[in-house]
Amino acid sequence: MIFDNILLGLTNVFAPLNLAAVAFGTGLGLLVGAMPGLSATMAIALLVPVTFVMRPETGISMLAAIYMGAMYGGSIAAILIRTPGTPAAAATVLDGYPMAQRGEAGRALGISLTASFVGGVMSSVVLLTVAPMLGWVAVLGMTIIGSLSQGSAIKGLLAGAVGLLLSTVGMDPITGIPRFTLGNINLFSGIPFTVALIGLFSIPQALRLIERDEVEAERINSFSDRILRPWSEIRELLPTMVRAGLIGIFVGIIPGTGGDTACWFAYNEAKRASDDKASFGQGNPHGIAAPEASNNAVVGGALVPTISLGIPGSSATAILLGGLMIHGIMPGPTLMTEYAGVTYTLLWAVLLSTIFMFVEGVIFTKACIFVTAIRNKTLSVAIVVLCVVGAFAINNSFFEVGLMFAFGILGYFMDKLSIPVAPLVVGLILGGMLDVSLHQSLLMSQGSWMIFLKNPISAALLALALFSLIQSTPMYERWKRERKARKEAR
Amino acid sequence: MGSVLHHALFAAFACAIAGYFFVAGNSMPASAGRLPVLLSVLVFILSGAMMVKAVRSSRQNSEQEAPEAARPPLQVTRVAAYVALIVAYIYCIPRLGYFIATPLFMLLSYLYLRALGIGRSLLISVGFSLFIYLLFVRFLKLPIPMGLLEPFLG
Repeated sequence: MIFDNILLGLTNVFAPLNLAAVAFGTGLGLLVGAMPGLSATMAIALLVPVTFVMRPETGISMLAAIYMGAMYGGSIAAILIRTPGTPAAAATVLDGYPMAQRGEAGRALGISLTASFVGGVMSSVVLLTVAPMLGWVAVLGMTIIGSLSQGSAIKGLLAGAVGLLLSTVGMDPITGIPRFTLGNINLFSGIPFTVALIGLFSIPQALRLIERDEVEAERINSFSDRILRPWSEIRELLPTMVRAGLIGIFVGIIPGTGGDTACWFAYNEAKRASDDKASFGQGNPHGIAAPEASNNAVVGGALVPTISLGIPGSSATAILLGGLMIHGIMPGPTLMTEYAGVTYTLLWAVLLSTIFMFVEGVIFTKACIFVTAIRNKTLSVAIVVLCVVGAFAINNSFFEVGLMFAFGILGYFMDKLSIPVAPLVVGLILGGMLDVSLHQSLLMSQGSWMIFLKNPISAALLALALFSLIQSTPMYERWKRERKARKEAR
Repeated sequence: MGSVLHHALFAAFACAIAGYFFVAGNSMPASAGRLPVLLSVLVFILSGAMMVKAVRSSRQNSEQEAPEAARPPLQVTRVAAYVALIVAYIYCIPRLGYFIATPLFMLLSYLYLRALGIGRSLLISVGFSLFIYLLFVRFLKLPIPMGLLEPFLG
């Protein structure tokens, strides 16, 4: 059955429209990633409305291809203008820019591209072969979110709770009565999460781009050395790329962590394993290969919990999940069974996008240099225009355009306070399911809450959630610090 | 101290929303109001926890006095004016039409932000609006309000 679905997906992905969508998405991702003012997450959020007219597998494949392309694209800006194009390319700056400064920009970009290709292929193969089994790793991975996630877990939980709360706006799915609509008919069908998504991810970025005067970046405007690197050079870097790829897959599987975590994790491991630690930060090729292999490996890794459990592995996959739901495809284990055609096409599309990324990277990287020169203020206005038309495109409603902007302002203030917005979006997306499931469960147990403890799967997941919560408390942080101090004292 | 104030304002905002959901949820039938009431209590608790953490972090930071990274200062007036411009843009779209309001918004924004000279501002404003027209109106068949350009663009 699984083999049949794999073959079905392979057949579908080679349909001309799907091929074109993946190729286009990868190229767009390259461009978007190369621009420091845009992120893959934002580009995916803005393009979700465009996928309405496409078949689900075509639209979602294009969005996944953007994600993959942007992971490499971010290194272009990191290497040439010392500013990561995406947060996942932050570690690439350390060795990429120094290598470019000594006249080897093409070499740096070539190493980045090859490493991205290796990482992407590794995670695509994992996704295609063992994704359903690795879903449980995602559940276990939630126990270590506290150690790997950046920022405050309390803030993440608060954002998630607010998202769940906002998801209850609209007609109650059980009784049919309007809830929290303030008498406004536009809210009767609830807050469309795509509208919130566009607002929360894009408007804050548009405001961030103009809020401070732009500092002129030191830049490399051209390069003459080859991007396509000799096999002898790649062979030497292959162990680093494979190790980093595995790190990226693992980090991607853990919900809530993404390329920005993986790139540093992989960089630090590469440095630790090196005999020449002092050269890291001076243009060491391993310092480029490691973060780039890991951030592309995150793409496939993040799709594992998304596809198998309906739990997004990263912000970008949270939006992909929203994109699936817009096309009427509900997240969860049924993605691999009821919607196998769409899902396996997506999985093959991820592998295909890696190949397109390599080819387009070799051909178009030099052309991408011009996008690194686009000024932040120019980009900001374009982002606002795209947000407005994107929000309008969902339901042809100006009320929703206003709602999008309100969420945008909320997102801006959340960003200023380092409160992550991804949990809010996830809460909005999954809140409806929680509402219905809670009601069904309490009906089955005739109103008894003990059903959640008596059921072993439910009890286990609650225990995991409690463990994640405990990790966010000051007592746990104090215990961790004391444990570390005791280890260092020995 | 500033950070504590900002966290307090956000916590107050979250509690205000939760308060509304709590009160309204309690006046609904049990099955409709159960989850919103539970979630609003959770928001109250988490807002309080965030405040406690913010106060603790503020005390630790004031003891350590970590140096701030050198960055250009935040231009609050610019952000506020830009937000007002965006609000005006959204307000004008149904009245003037998208393809009058959009190039106008882009042009005014570029000039106010001093992003580009007047020539390039005009070129990019018109060019980008044309791109939106071709992609969203022609290709995606989106019924964008044309306003005053209705007789010409249809």
